[in-house]
Amino acid sequence: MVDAVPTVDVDFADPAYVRDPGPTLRRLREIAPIIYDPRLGQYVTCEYRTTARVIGNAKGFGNQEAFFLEAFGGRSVEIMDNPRHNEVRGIWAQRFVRDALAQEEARTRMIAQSVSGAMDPLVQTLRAGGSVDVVPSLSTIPTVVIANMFGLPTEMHEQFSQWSGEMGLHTEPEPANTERGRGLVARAKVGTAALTAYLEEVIDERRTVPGDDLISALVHSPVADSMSHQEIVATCSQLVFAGHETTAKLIAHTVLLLAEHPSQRAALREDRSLLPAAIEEVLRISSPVQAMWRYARPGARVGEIEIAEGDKVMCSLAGANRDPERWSDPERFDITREPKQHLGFGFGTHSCLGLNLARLEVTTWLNQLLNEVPSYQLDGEPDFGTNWVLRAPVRLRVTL
Amino acid sequence: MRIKTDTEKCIASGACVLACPEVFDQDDDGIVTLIDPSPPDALYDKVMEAAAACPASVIHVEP
Repeated sequence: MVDAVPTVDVDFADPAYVRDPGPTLRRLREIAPIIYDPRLGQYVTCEYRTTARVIGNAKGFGNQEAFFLEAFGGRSVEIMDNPRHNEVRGIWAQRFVRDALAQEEARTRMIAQSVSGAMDPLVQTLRAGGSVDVVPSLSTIPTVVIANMFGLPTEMHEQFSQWSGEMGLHTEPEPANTERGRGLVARAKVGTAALTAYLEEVIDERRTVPGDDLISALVHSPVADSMSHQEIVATCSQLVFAGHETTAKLIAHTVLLLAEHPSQRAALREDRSLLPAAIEEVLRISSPVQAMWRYARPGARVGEIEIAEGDKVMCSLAGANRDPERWSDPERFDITREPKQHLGFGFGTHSCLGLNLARLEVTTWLNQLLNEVPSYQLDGEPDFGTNWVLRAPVRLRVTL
Repeated sequence: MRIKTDTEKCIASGACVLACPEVFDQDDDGIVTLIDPSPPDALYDKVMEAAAACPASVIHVEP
């Protein structure tokens, strides 16, 4: 019943919004817990309680199958419902728990190497007095980590990263009826096709010659017997996608925020025990995954409002993460806040499987940065580009 | 053992319920609730598995 819900007109694609979404989200949040946006034909939630309730309510709201089929080549784990979802997610879940990641020395060493590989050239340029854009090198860190966890040969890592980057273009929110939009979709399709074709080869190999990697674990799990070939491939390609740009963008935000808050950076350098809380605060205030969408199932409600089946709800994680009902002075970046869960990694049964891996990668990056480059500053304004859905600086130049 | 939960940190992943449904449940918002804050020792391993599986470090177990 759209009549009972206040309407707003927001151009989320406006570069001014992408540069600084906070003020718009605050305005929307103050109107009502749920509002309607006729421009994009969707409901919007911008405050914590309502947003968490929509995302977490798997009975009332689901994901859009078409997106997953196009982006990942099949029905991946995120489009499944419980109890099947838990069975499939359970295949990898134990490998992503905090201790399983942090206590395996080979893994932490691999992550440290992946980070050094990206950071060393930056550090050299900076120490030579130069200015450098941090962003291009960040993408390789999470993809090399995933490539390792998939057991892919080192010589394939660069190609794998490139395909993953192209597959990620599916999230660029450029309208499909512009030339740029059509170009992005075309490249995304090529990347997805190439990546899934390669993953299919690897899946076949691992069926006959299993290893200790995630793909072997998946194909040799008893649960795999109930999965179609398409679902197995899509679940693998979704993992690649889910852990790539998200993590790279979180690192970019970390570099930016600590450039803008030098006293907090100094405090972190002196006391590394502050790192976990600091990373959560970066996530809260930057929310690289700015929004998630849910589609109403029959009988869906948000509070008193009935949502018609198939109607779309944009759940603003970024808005929810700055809700003044939950955090005092929410627009302020403050690494000393008392830890309170935010929605940066999602919520509910589909919440991010890789969140401890992401935290580990960012922690590793940040420790190395604080060791190697304790003091740095921005060289010019960061450029936030056009992606307001998966948002981060696309150019971020720093200098000593 | 005695179990405490930091519900402010819970993201309703349901991992604890999967690991140990005898002890952990979720309220209407998906936030963890305790069926029994002092479960029998026989459940110790499963409770620890739930604590380890929790993505938000919500569950604290005292002997």
